[in-house]
Amino acid sequence: MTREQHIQQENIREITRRHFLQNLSTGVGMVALGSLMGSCGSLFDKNSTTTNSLNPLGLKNPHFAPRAKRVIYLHMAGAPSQLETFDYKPLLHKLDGQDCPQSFLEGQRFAFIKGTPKMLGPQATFKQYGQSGATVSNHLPYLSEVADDLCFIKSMHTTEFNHAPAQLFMHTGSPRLGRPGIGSWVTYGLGTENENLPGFIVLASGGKTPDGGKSLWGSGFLPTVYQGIQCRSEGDPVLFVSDPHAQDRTLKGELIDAINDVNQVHYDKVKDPEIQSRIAQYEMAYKMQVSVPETMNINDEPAYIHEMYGTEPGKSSFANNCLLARRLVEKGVRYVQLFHWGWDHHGESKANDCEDGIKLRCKETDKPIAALLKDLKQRGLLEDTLVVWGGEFGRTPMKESRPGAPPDGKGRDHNPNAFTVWMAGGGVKPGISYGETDEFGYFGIKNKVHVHDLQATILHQLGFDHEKLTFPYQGRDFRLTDVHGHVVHDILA
Amino acid sequence: MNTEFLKSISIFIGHFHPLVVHLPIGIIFFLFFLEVIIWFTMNNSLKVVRIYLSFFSMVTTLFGLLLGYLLSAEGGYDLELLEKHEHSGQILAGITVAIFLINLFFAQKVFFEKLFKGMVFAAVVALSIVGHYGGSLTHGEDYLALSQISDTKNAEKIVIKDINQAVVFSQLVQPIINQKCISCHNAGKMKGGLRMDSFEEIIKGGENGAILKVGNSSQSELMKLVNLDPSEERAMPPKGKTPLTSDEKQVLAWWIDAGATKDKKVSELKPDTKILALLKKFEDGAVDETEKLPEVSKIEEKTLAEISQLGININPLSKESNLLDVRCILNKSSWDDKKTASLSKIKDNIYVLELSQTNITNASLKTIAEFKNLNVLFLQNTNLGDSEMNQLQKLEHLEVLNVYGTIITDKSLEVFAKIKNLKKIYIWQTKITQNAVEKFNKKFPSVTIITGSLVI
Repeated sequence: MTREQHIQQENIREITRRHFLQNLSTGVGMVALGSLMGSCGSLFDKNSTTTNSLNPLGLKNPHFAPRAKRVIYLHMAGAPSQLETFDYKPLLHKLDGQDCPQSFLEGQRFAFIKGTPKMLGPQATFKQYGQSGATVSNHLPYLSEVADDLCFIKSMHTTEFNHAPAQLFMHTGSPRLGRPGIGSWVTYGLGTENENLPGFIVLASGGKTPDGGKSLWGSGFLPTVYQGIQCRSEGDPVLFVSDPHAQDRTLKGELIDAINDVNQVHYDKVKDPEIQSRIAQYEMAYKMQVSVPETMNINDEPAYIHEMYGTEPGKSSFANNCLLARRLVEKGVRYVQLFHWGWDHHGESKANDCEDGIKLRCKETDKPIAALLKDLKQRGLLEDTLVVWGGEFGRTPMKESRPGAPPDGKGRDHNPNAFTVWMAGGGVKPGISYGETDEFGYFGIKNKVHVHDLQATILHQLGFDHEKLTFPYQGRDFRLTDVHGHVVHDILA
Repeated sequence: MNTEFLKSISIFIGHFHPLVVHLPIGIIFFLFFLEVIIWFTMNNSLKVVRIYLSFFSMVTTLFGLLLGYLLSAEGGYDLELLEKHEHSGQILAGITVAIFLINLFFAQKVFFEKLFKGMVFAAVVALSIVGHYGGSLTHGEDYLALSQISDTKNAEKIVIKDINQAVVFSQLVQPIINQKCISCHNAGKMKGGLRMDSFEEIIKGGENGAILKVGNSSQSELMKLVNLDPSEERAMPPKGKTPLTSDEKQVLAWWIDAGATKDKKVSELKPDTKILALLKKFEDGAVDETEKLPEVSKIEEKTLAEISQLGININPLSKESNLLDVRCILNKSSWDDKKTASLSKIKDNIYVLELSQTNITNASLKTIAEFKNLNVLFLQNTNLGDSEMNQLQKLEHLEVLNVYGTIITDKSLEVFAKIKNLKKIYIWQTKITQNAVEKFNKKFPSVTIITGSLVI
């Protein structure tokens, strides 16, 4: 019996007349959704002995043998310029200050560029590093040390040129709201290795949440147990999960047991699978009260580790989040999503241009990212942890001339046609560069990789056929890559 | 409106020919089966539908014929075959018109029953002939030939024993072309006037000229087209067909650069080491051997449940395999040698084993050494020392060994050298010396030792 047939059968079995009528009041769509939640346990078939089969977070099997068990996704929100980081275009030096050719502007839509902008040369110097000879800018001295572990994709492209939709596209496969994030899909497909921690954890740093908002890690139409849990490195790690002052933990445990007992009785009576989901969530929240503060406390790390990452315990920083990411994957968390903010270098001020602005952001992230890679590697975690770095799109080779900005501002506008993403570990070929952009870094010209292709590749490394990891909703099977996506086999080891 | 535009429109409409022709196929066969049913059941009431079916078979056949003319304007087909398809199509159209007319005018006549049945039978015969020629045009003339079927199977499995002795064109290039290009560029279906079914035809090129620039792959039309992004309109193979892999593209490019020879062997073209490594993949048995997982029998759920009770996650590697991924994630300190011993029940199925930070001692190694299919072993941050490490030599499939944070010394490193397929060893924070690592690296370059960036 296929997974889908199994779900269907479970549905029929579990939907009683009463349940059906109850749910009708909230729409027929809810019938499908609600009943599927309960049957998620049946997603894992043979050998499904390790966990309670009704626990939606129980371990499940991928379609084929995975190369990666976990993912750390480092998202530089605002979209870092590929031209100041990894994609060196010497020709731009020559063209610096000249008018942009009209052919560059025809048929293109820009977020801000109006009229004829001037070209902008690379605002960084580049060198080749390691045995692989990877090109890395002088803003990233630490990362250049681990260049041989990275696989660069220089020909990424997307369809969105504004932050929020492009970020949603990157993480949910659709530029509009309502789809589950990739981390939710992964936990839905694989369950969590550590039953005391959520399978999908989000850590944000750098001032504000990304433009795409919390929908970037929402569970969409998937059961809510799969949504990303945002943890903070300052104050309470998870909001609203700690006990009220002076409440006794044993008492709390008994309280939750009692609630779950009542829920179980109700479940036995009406077989509403939504109740099982609620029971699982109560239990998870209770476990998280202990497990999360313990995992999020980085004070027990030795001094050389703090030195390596450049962490500041007790504060909210990207370095802390990188160290936390390692601790989380070490404990078996499936998908750790890091956001850093402030890469939108339009050049309206010195602090936010492609000369000084990007230098600052690189400085904040360079050491921690390199440390994370080294640390994962020496612990053997890079063996089955996939690390992905990137923004939501790239930036233009021409200057952006925004009204009111200094005339010599060195900013770049959004460019959905070309940007660089790198991957490391998790069965991806190290020390290679895949795809090429034209001599301006404006368009991909060889081996172009679309956002859906990247998503398909990430799922492939986790053991999934991206066309088969589906969820039925509103009458059809949905998947992360919708009807697109090709696995980029050329970059896989 | 210019004629160019009209032509492209008419060809576009013509592209619906293969779709539309299936309508008369269905209707005519239905007509035929209806006659058979009438014959057997003597149910005369069924006869009333004859006229409608005849009408539809006529209309759809004529429509299909019209679209066929439009499509043939595009060219690129074997003319002889096209002519046969065209003529038989005209005959079929004539028959369907006749069937409709006799239905209209002679339905009351005595001879009608026999004539009608005969005509329907003739239509089925004609239809089969038209269909056969049409199929030959689309799929190639020998698509149906039995010898061809076994041929293609054999052809795809060209056995290359020694890559240096392989003939570049016939054993490397032609098989790629056969797989990816030939379905549209053959004697029967010459898209763009190009045939690729022999060396001479490939050199000759198509109606737009040569496709190869011998000695210069980047200027060769063939490479330009296969290197285009599959979403581009001119990309070859066209959208929807399987594109060439990067390995295949590199082989073609190398062949062109080296002079696009017909009979030269690999060694005669003097490939550099990079190309040679690439070509090695095409050697018989070279591919996939490492990818293939060992086959083991399934373990009963009850046994798995019992073992996981001990506090370990047991999960099948995938839906396709009975191999297991076994990891101790929670309550690591309560995992000891005794518990490791209980894993013996599933010893052949363990593919990944993670026992880091547990309380195991070197006694566990003896048990682990029996897990003959073990591929990845995580034993980091345990109290393991050198003793019994030599047990691990038995693990022939072990590729990754993580023993960082243990107290093993150079002695263990010597033992690891004897593990046949080992590829990576993680030894950060052990007592292994830098000196020993350097010696090991020199002796066994195929094994990577990850020492970590910090030696404490």
